[in-house]
Amino acid sequence: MENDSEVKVDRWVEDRLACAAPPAVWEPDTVTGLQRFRKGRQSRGARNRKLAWTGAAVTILGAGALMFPATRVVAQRCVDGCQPRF
Amino acid sequence: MSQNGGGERLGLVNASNEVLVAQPSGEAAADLEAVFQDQYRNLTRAIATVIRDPACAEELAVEVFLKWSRSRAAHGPHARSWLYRTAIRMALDELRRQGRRSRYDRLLDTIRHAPEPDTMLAAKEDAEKVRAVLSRMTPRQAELLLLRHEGFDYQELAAALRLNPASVGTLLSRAQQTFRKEHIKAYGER
Repeated sequence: MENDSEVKVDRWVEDRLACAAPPAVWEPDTVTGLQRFRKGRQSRGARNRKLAWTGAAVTILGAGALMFPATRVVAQRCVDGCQPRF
Repeated sequence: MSQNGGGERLGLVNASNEVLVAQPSGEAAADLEAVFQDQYRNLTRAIATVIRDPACAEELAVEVFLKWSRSRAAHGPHARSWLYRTAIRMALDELRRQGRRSRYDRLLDTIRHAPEPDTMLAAKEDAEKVRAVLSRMTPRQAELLLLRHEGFDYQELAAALRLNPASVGTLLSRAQQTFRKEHIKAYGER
């Protein structure tokens, strides 16, 4: 059960917070907001697609390179060449 | 506070949104946009209560909706709670960032703005005092006060802030006391 002082504080706080509210005449621009929202979703989708395609391309190229014995030999030579240094 | 039916997929679509034209990307996009249209105005006003710049409030509101559209778990009957909680959090973060701005920036702001009538100036000062006190409170307490101010009842507050419903009243009362104490400490009884 709320007592009087709690109710008073509640009102006091509400009054103060109401001071900070934007003027009643101010209306956010929903049309522009919606356009930004659509644009944001589209650019996010495009970025995701780009990332997916890049990932797929790297995987295919990597798998393709590993399928050829010649590339494995070259890789082994590189590793052998580096080993004496460490 | 409007009560939205929970039967729809996204939880917030009301009758006024049925006139929305479906977007090419499909029905889900139209649902997201229906929620956007339903909540954008009040959400942006809630953000503008916390930060002083209306344009920034509009940008922030769009960011909140973009975050929400990516988070499938936030869709459903608790979408409104999720949107407001995130909006208030992001607004409080922005308020703290603004508070860290250099004195030089503030001085420039004062010079740039044209002189205003006393009543408008007083109202702005009152709003700034409220924001200053909010930025000094713990985020949880500030969130409680602001969500309550937006009309959330105890059940909704508990759901939005993941609190025990039985302790919401006590926590809210403490937050109000803290706000009052800080305000009086900084600006006097008025």
